[in-house]
Amino acid sequence: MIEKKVRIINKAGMHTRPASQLVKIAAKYKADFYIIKDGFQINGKSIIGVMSLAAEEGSELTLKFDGPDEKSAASEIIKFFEEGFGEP
Amino acid sequence: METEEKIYKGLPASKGIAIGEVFVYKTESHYYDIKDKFSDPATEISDYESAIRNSIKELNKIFNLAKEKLDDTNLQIFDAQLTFLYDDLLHSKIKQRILQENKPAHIVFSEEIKKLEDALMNANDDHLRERVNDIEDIKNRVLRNLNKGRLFSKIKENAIVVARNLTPADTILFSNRNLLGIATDLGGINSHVSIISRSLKIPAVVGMHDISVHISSGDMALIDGYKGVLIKNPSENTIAGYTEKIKQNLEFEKKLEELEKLPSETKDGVKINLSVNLEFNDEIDYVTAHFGCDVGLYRTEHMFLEYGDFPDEETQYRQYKFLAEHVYPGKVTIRTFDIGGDKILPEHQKELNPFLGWRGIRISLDKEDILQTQFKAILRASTKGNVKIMLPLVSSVDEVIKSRKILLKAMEKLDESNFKYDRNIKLGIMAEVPSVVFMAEDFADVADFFSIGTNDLIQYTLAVDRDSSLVSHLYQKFHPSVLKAIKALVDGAASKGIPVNVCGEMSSDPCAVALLIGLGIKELSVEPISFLRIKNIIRQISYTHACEIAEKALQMNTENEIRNYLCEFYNEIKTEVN
Repeated sequence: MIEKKVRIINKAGMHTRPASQLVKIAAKYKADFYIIKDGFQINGKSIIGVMSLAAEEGSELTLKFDGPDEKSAASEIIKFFEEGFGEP
Repeated sequence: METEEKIYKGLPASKGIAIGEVFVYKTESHYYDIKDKFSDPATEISDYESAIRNSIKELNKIFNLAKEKLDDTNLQIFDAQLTFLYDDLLHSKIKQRILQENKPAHIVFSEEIKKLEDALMNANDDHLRERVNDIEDIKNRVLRNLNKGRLFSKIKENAIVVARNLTPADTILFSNRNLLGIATDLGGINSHVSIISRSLKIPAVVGMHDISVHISSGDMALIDGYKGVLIKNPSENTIAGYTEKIKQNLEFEKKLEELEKLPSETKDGVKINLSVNLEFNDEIDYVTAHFGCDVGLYRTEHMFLEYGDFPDEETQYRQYKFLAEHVYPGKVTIRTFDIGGDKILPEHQKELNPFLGWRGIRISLDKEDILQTQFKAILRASTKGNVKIMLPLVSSVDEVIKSRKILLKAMEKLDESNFKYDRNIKLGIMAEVPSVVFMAEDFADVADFFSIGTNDLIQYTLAVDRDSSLVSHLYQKFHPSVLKAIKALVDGAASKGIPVNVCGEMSSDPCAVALLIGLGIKELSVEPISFLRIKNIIRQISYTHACEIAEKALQMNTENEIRNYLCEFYNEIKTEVN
């Protein structure tokens, strides 16, 4: 299992578009993917879960990956967060 | 329950009288509030699943059609909405809750979405709060589909449907449920619900303002589509009176039936080609058996509404071939899809003025493959040489030239696969935009025929939305400018020797027949329900007299004067059958 802390850096936060992209990336991997915010954990493969975190700019999240391909899943998803979801 | 007889007035949209139980069809907005009886978890779950499937289908359809019309942000929102519909965790949670809590699907679904909305609304960030709109959209779509499926199964057979408004899709949906009659709050006599009810021969009264509030499901009502009234709780006397009226009407219709085998010509022997407008294939048998006439206008939009998408070549081909074979040796004029952007575009991309927007030939030329597919299907059905093609909403000569190029491409494609078709197929246009009137001669150079669509021609000439109850009185079919427009189109067509017919509502108006013939129209295409009535009128007037009538009417400068003049003439001949 891999755990990693990330921060939301884009202005608009985790809104509909990045949430949808994130879910799509996660779906490519077998590994389970969870996001924890303020002690609240959701399944990162569910867009309704991801969006219900209401993660705005500056929020700190913990990502959890667990499964055979957790390494590649973690690297792609962490990169997506670090790039600010490709947004300003 | 009140049982007092009460009369409500509206506009007569489709002739006929019906007596029966009322079914009030509540449209989406206020349907959400209805506390549905919970059926059983298994049904709730399968309803939910099919609502999700239908929502996915809808979104994909919009996505594909609107791809080039939408900016990136909107496209991504669509895409994100699809991700919601594919959220299996959401679905399994909802199904689980339905099972465990014995609650109906729409309530569980709404609650789950509400949780998300609350979470977003509590965010400190404006950007996130705004996202609630995206979610609202997806929620409405799923709930609407959830209701639609249930609604359909709940529609009572043999009932009078009362609604705030009915979309063409609703009306078609209802037509499969043996409707007795239709009454709506909104709509004018030329709105789609009226046209469709006439073609389905369902008595209808529209523009009743708030009938849907004053009447409830289960009430008894009588609809008089001749006068445009609905009578709630009709008394025994009223019913008896109407029964007599129904009898008289049947007798008149019976007398009219004697005209079936007689030619459609004036007293002085001028032949008028009387044909019908068709929308549904199931009308064809009746038309060929009883009237044996051409189909002057075959509308293809219903396929789009039925399939929820542009049907593929094979599906279209089967319909057109069936039609062409049944009508043979008669001719059939197939109009390419006349769909408005309002049926395709998503809510937030809707145009302010759909009637001046992306519709008819404009969509077909922007989506060349759709037009080419339709041309191929029509061509393949043309082997007997009895098929013509007509383009809707043409406003520029360019559009005809471009369409003809696409038609040639379609022919090349068919040649490659060795399909047979009519190489000399005629390509004509609807004359319904004033620019065509002003340039009638130029259009006559590039089009093989004109078909005057009076409904749109009137609305565009007079700048009146026929569905707006505030201005619908200004929608005047006998407005002097409309007469002059028809005259200009007839003259323009004559200068190049191409035929011109009238396929709009006006040709089904008894008062207009003498005028149109006098203006030089030799072909009229009418709704099947009016066919024999119009034939009866044609047979009672002389061509010379009709010319005099038209000439006189062209001198008049108010619609009132023209209308009175024409109706007076009609009243002299109306009760006779000749």
